[in-house]
Formats: sequence, C-alpha cells, structure tokens
Amino acid sequence: MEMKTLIHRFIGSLLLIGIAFAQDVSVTASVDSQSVSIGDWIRYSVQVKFPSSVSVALPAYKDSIGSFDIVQQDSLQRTELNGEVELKKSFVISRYDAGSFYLQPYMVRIKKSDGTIDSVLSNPIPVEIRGVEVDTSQTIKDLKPPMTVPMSMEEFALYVGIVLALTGIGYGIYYYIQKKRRNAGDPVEEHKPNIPPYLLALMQLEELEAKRLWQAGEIKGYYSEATEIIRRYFEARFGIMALEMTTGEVMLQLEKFKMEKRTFTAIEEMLSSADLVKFAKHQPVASENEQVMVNARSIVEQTKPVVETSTPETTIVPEHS
Amino acid sequence: MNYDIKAINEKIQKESAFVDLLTMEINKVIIGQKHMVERLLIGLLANGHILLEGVPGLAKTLAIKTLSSAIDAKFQRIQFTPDLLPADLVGTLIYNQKDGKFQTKKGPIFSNFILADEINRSPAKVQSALLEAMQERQVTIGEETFKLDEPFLVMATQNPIEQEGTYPLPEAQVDRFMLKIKIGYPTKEDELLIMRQNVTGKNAAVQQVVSAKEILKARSSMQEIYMDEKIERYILDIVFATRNPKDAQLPNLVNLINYGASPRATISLALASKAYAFIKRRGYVIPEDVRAVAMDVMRHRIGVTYEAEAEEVTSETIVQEILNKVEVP
Repeated sequence: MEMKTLIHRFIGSLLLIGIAFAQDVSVTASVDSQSVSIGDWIRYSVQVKFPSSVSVALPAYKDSIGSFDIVQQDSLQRTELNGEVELKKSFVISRYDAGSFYLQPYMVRIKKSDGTIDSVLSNPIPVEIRGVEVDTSQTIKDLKPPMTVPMSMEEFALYVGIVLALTGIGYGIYYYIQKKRRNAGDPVEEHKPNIPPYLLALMQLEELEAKRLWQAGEIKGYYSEATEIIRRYFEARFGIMALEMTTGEVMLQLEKFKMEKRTFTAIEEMLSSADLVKFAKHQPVASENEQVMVNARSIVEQTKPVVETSTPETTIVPEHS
Repeated sequence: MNYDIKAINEKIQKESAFVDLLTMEINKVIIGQKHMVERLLIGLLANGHILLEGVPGLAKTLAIKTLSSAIDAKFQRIQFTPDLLPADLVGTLIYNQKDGKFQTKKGPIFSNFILADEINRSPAKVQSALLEAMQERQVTIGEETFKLDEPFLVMATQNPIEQEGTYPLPEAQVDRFMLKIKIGYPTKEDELLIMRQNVTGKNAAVQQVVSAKEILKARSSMQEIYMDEKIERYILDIVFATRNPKDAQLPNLVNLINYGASPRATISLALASKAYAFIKRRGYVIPEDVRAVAMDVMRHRIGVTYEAEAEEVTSETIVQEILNKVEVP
C-alpha cells in the first residue's frame, strides 16, 4: 500500500470521527456515512470515557441535534472497568434539505474533583446531503398511481338494482312483442322437409291425378288445383308472388326469367285455359283435361333448375324458397 | 241461374262494339288520360258516379264534354262556389204573375252528364243536394218529384292542392261515388301532341257514334256478364280484408285502418268489374278485371288512422297491400 493512500485514509478517519479529550475524559462522535441522499438515515454514535471519580453530564436531545432531526435514539449504555467508565449513546438522524452541513459538536459537562465545572466537545462532523437528481428528459409522472376507492355496499346495491331493472324492462318488451305477435296471428314457423320445389310440384301433380277429380265431374276443382300447384311452384322456383297474381301479371313476371319461348307459351296457354274453366264455365273435353296434366308436368320439368354434369361436382341453379 | 257463356260472349262482343268507336272518338280530342277515359266508360256502363282528383288543366271538363258529344247527351258544367245554393243546382219554384201560379224552373242537374267542378268549394247543403240526386236519381222541387234523365253520370272534381276555404266531403258522401280517380300529368310525348293540337286552332270535331239508348241497352247486357262464385269470393276477400286485416294475414294493417270498405264497395267492385269485362269485350269476369278497378273503387272507402297519417301511409298503400296479399282464385 502506498504512503499517499495511507495518509488519505488517516485524514478521512479524522474527519469521520470527532475526538475530544480533557483531563482523561474523552468524547468520541462518529457517523456511519458522511454522504447520504436526502431523507436517508444516518447512525450517529457517541462514546464518552472518563474516570469513575469524575462526574459527567450528557446533553439531552429531544427532537433534533442542531439542524438534523432525530428519528430514533437508543438508551444510554454504561460500562465500568478498572475505575474507568464508558458511556455509549447512539442516534438515528436525518435531514430533508440538500447541501453540506456540520453535525454540531457533542458537548459533555464535567464536574471535577475540586468542584470546578468544565466541558468537553467532540469535533464537528461534516455531512453531505445529496438531493434527488431530476432527469428532465423524462415526462412528469405520479409518485404513486391513484388509489382505487373500494365500492361501498350502497353503491353495490344501486348497481345491482339498475341491472335488475334493465333486465326486467328488457324482458317486459320481449314479452309484449311476443304477445302482440301471438295476438296478430303470426304463423308459427314449421319445420318442413327440404324438398326441391320441382319435386314437390311433381308429387302434388301425381296426387292430384290420383284424386281423379275431372273424371268425377269436378272439372273446375281439377283445374283450380292444377294451376295452384303450378303457381305455388313458381313462387318457390322464381320467387314471385304467383298465388296473389292474375294470369297476366304472372306472365309479366315470368318474362324476366330466361326460359324457352315454347315453355312460356305453354304456361300462358295452361293458365288462360284454366281461367276459362274457372271463371267462364268452359267445359273442356276429356283429352283437354288429360293434356292439362301433361302440360303441367312438362312446365315443371322444363323450368326446374339446370343440373350441370360436365364437372365431377354437380351444380344446381339456386332456387327461391 | 243457367248461363250460356258462349251466347253471352257473343252478345257482349256484338254490343260492346261501340266501346272501341267511342274510345276512338274521345281520343280524337283527349290525348293521353287513357285511364280516365276508361273509367268514365266504366261509370257510364255501371251506372256509377266518379270523383276525380287532379290539378287544374288536365282535360277533366273536356273529357266529359267530349263523351257527352259522342253519345249525343246533354252536358252541364257546374262550378261549385261557397255561395252556391241547392236551388241553383236542382231548380226552384218561380211565381208567375200572369197566371198567379208557381212554375218549376229546373236546375242544371237535369242533364245526362254533369261536371261538378270543385265540389268541395260549396257548403254541405249543396253537396248533399247533389249527392242525394246522384243516389236517388230523382229531384223534388216543391211538391213535385222529377226523375232524372238516363244515362245520368256525375263527374265531380276535387283539387288536391288547395284546402283553404273548402268543405271536404264527409266519408258517407264520398262512399256514393263508385270510383275515385286520381289523374296525373300527361307524358312528354302526349303533351307534345296536346300542344300541337291546340296551337293550330283546328279543334277535332267529335261525331256522335252512340246513342243514349244504346248505352242503356249496353247496361242491361252488362248485367248478364257471368261472374263466377270464385270471383265473387275474391271480391269479398278483398273487401273483408279492409275490415279485418288480421284475418287476411295482414296484422300490420290493423292499426292503420280506421274503418273498412262498406257493402256498397262490394257492389261497386262487382259492377265495375263487370263493366271492365264489357269494355274488354268479354262475357265473363276474370280476376284481372277486379284488380284493374279495385284501386279506384276502394281508395276513397277506407279510412286511415292518425297513426297511418303519421307514417304517411295512404289508403292507396293499404289497398295495394291487400291486393298483393289476397290470393287470386
């Protein structure tokens, strides 16, 4: 170790510890650190040694030692050995101002054997209090985040009440609408098997044929049912309201769809001839009645969705349903 | 009742031949307004009266005047004003100083065709006098009752754009009109022809192509037109849908209709459908005939609620919705 370093350490220890002597009475004051951050605690220890023949009086500190606040002070420790008394007292101190300060000397009063009174002081100890370094490049932020106020029972009850009330109102509206719909006679949706309209029409035509209506003299009924099946099929196939339309209107609507002219003519002929039977007391002959069924089937077959077989997957033209 | 449709068809074909002639003659003067002319003929054949709504200048007067000229019938135009009195319309008794007796002075209502222009400009008493004559087809002056000449057709007009200082016809009175027609402006092409025809100063002369007698005969033949029960039920379905929309699967109309069409509407719809079939020279009625006249027969017979008015739903919207919903036989 170099001589220069030893000298520096010696000077430093002298600064750290203040020692005073007077007639075999010594007062030693020390701190655990001479440079602390603002608000940090410093342990300040004082040791007084004197012969048992001497009376000493230590200063009483209540809240502060000079400009340092006392955070905590320990009780005095006394030991006596071979006629020499040692007193130890330690404090925890702090300061909330930045800068360089001196801890004032610790003064011990002595009453000598001849009755005179003297005092012994420790050396003052320099202490540096460092302030908090502010990084101005950073934004200002809270020291602590805002605290969340816990919910009171009253607030909880209020929220529960609001939720219950809203649920009640919602259910009330739903119930009212449902009731209104029921009263209005909305048809209940029925689950129907998904039969393609053209198949359904063909099945219904077969059923109609099996009824043998015209053979039983119910020619008007036969024509009415046949045209109804076809109109219903048009509704499902083309999405037009054929049941609520006259023959002329149906034909007008069908003009919008791509179909062969002969099919179009066949539809018009079938519906018009049925109109004559239904509304003009036309009495068709047996062959005409048979032809109606042939025409109806042909119309359905010719207007059913096109099935493409050129690709492995079958494509069907979408239907209105 | 036995119907020989073939015979009826032939008869109607024969007797309705004048319709084409009459239409052609009217079309010499009236350009466009095919709908109005057709409805005039329906009113004439079905023995009903017509309420016409349209802005001024749409040839309302000219149409009925031309019709009367083509039929060789007497025509009168009465301008309804707030100071018009019932006596100005039907006539009155005038004291004759010579013989010291009251003489009957017949009013302008004693004609075959009447144009009651702006009928809602006169107070209720005058309207009532006209509407009573329309219904009863007779007029009482003093103690004497006079039958009105046949054919007797009243075409009343209302201006839809001016409502101040008017006396709107009560619902019960409006119901007495068989048809209420709304007419609009002609197309550009039609108006071009109208302009050309009127700036030359050469007005086309209307020839008499049919007599009043023939009209009366046609009316009688029209009664024979066959109306199948299916058509009758279709008419009933339409009329009843205005009264009980819920039963016709139209619950959305329940709150929009204040009152539905009366039985008079049913009769008018049936008669107008027959007249339409006659014009189309058919001896039987088909659903097309009903639908063709339904709007004009029904639109003034349905009362809409305040709710409907607030939602800007008109009686036309309601009729159209009903026609779209009721299944055609």
